[in-house]
Formats: sequence, structure tokens, C-alpha cells
Amino acid sequence: MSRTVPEPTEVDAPFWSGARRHELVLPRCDTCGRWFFPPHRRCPNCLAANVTWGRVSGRGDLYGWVEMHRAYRPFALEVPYNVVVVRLDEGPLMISNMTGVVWDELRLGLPVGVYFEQISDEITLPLFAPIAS
Amino acid sequence: MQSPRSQYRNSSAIVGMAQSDYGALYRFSEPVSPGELARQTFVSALSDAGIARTAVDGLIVVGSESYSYLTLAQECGLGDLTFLAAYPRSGRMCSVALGHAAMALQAGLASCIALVYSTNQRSAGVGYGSDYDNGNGSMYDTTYGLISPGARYALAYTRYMDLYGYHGREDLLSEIPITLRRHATVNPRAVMKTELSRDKYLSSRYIARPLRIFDFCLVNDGSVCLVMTTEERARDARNPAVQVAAWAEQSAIDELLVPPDYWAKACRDMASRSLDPVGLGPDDISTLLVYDNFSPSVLWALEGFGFCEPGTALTWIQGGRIALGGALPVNTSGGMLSEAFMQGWNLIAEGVSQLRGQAGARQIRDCSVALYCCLAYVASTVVLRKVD
Repeated sequence: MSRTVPEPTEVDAPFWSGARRHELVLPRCDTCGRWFFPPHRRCPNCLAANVTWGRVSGRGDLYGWVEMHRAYRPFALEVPYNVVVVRLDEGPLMISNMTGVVWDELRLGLPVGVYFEQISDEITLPLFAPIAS
Repeated sequence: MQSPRSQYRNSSAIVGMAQSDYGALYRFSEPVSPGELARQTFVSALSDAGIARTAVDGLIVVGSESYSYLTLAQECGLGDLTFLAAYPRSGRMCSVALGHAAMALQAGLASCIALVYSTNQRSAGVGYGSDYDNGNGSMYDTTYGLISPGARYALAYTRYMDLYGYHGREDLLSEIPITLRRHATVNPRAVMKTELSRDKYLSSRYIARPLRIFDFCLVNDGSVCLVMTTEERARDARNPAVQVAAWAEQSAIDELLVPPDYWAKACRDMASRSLDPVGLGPDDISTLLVYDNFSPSVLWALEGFGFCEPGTALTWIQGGRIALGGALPVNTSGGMLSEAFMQGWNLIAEGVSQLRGQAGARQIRDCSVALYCCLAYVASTVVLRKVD
């Protein structure tokens, strides 16, 4: 399995360092209290610039899914593979892949939990699997 | 803040229209010059309108990454314009450009505007899952393999199916590509003219499950040119004028592309600023021209504009309702799934043909109002009406 390896930026470095520790770490606005993802310099809700990173539960439920049967780029995953959108318990949506589930079991609201897989020296990816509700 | 009024109403018309022969171009394997295609349709559209080139004082070019508006203006003798604009190659810009032309005519910035769309996307090998679709990458979509716009529509469609009790009913969506393909079989210009059966659909390959190859629009070469002028001047046109009765746009810029309400709010907002002010509702629409980049877009447009209730479109479309002869014929040219992918422009052109009564074997009886809509990051709608 080969993936495009993300390059951490100044803005999302805490996300990747958290993942290396096997922790899902997201930005949260100090002003309005909302968790958000993807990371931005400012809260997309209230535009405040004071943001603190914190660990979230890593739990959520399935929001949308697709099974890719065409590899659009040479570096893509081997087909077929799934891409899912998880709605984290804290609110934000995250794109990821899911394991431990077959197509017919992918259902709206399926409880999922994060786990981590190292793909390079620097990058460990958050992935999801079903969990007991 | 005061809510915006209709962005445009009632004072311009489409008087000229020309399209490439998409089917013929599809069989042609050599690279095609988009500039040459654009010049051909420009000349044909002027002839269709019965308007001299010297009467054109405005130009809008769309798809301008692949050919230059300067070259077009130079080669078509358009060196003396009072209104000129170029828009990026993007389907969501189709009715935006059309609306801007209408506003320019209303404001008196120009009196006769040619709108030219042209693409050689097929012969140039444009891939909609390639670098073109790099997006913002902000949700690490590439790392997780969420590649191509179709993947994003599929991802939203699985949620929709489950939300409204259609889990596992992959057969129902087939009504859209099958109907549009049937429309294309009586369109001499269409790229795909072979009937599509439900069995063939259900045994076809997935691209982004649950969406299959037939749920994806074509990628082909071609050009569309429209000529617009004021309603007053439109009376002198050679062919029946088609009124641009109303126009509205509404952005819905969502991280996942498809907003969680499937553009329901955007459609309501646009209807209140386009259909409502001219006194039209779903029952008045003779034909719906939907930006059918992927089959599910048709469902969401039908629900959004109130042709059926949210979550019911998969059932509502069955049994020929959206076919020629049905209650609401949709994309009678075959649409972008089967006629051609001109990023919306061929749908507008089909609306013009239908409202003129020149659609041949596809003609809708008593066609008086056509509603165009595109659901995208920037959603938009145009109401086209026959001039009595």
C-alpha cells in the first residue's frame, strides 16, 4: 500500500506530532469553544486567532463512505479501497479509511474508533475501525 | 441586512446558438484545437441569429485556460468591444457567465454579447482525477485516496441512500443514466447513442461505488456559442428569441463539496430570487436542465426545487417521469451523461432548441419554460422562457 505522504506545515504540525504519539489532537477555539478540523490559523466559526490544541476521544460515527474502484494516480492505494467520513464525537468531520468492515456493513451512524498506522518516519496516520457502541 | 432581490429579470434574450457535432468529434482521434472549435461555433451562432459580426460589442469566453480570448477576438474581428470577460474552465461558471451577460445587457454595458465555451479536454487528456482535481487538500483527501469530484458525490450519495431508507438499492439510480441515454439515441449530435439497459448498468464497473461508469459524465471535445442581446433587439433575430427571464446564484462552499442538506437551502434561496419574482413554480416548468456531472445531482435538483419532497426523488423518477413524454422531461439532449460534457453549456443550448421548437425528434410539446440549474460550490440557476 503506497500513499501520498503528507508534509506537515506550521499550521497542522501538532496534528501530526499527536498522531506519532497515537493521540488524535485537534485545534479548539478558545473564544467560542468549538473543535474544528482541518486545522486553520483562525477559528472558521468566530474567526478568533487564539486556538489551543487538545486531545479528542477518537470516537465518532460514520457519516459517508465510498469504495474507490479506479486508481486515479499512480501513487493511490490499491483498488478497491474505501474512503470514509467520520463525524467525531466532538463535532468535526474527518476523512479517513476504515478497516475491519465489509461494504454492506458500512452504515450511517456506525460507531467507529481511531487507531494509528505509521507510514513513514515522520508520518503516522489516523485510521478508523468499528467499535462497540 | 436586506435580502437580495432577484439578481436579474426580464430584459435580455438568447438569439443565436451553435454547438459542435460532439459525436463526430468523439470519433476523431487527432488533437483538436479548442480555438478552432470556438471560431466555428461563433461563426455559426452569428449566422443562426442573423446578426452581423460588427454588431457584437461584448464577449465572454469560458474555458480560457486552454485557449486565449485574445486569439479568438483577433481571429474573429472582435477588436472593438465595450464588454469583455474571461472565466475559468469550470462548470459552475456556465450560468454565472450567462447571468453576467444578462446584467451587462441590462446595464447597457453592451448591446450584443457572444458567449463562447470551448474545450479539447478529451484529445488533450484532461483527467478529472488528476492534478486538475487537487482541491485544497485540506482534509488530507489525497492521502486517504479521496480523489476526483465523482468520489465526493459518491460519498455524499451513500449517506443520502442510508438517510432515506435506500441502503443497498443501487438499481434505482439507473433510471437516470438509462433515461438520458434514451434521449441521446434521438439526438444526432450526441456522443453516446446506444441504448442502456438496467442489466447492462448493473453489470457495469464501479468507478466510485456506488457510482458506476454510466453515472459519470462524459469527457469530450466541443464548443458552444450563445449570442445574447436586449429583448428589444431580439425581435429582429432570424430565429425565435429565448428570454432569459431570471437568474440567481448561491454559493455553498462545503469542505466535502456536497453540502449536508444536498443544496436544499441553496435551491430554496435561488428559487426565491429567480422563479418567485417572475411568478413561476415547479408546475410551470416544461423541462429541467440539470448539471448532470454525476447521476445523483439530478435527484438533489428535483428535491431542491420542489418537484418532489426531500428523500423521495429516487422513487419519484421511476416509471418515465423524467423521460420525454413524461411529466417533467430532464436533459432531453441526453445531458452530460450521454450527449456531451460541455460543462453546462450544451444543456442551455438544448433549452434554447426546445423553446424555439427546433428539437426535432426530442421536441417537448408546448415547451414554454426551461429551468437550468447547477449544484456545485457555486450553485446557480437560469429561467429560460419562450417569447410569445
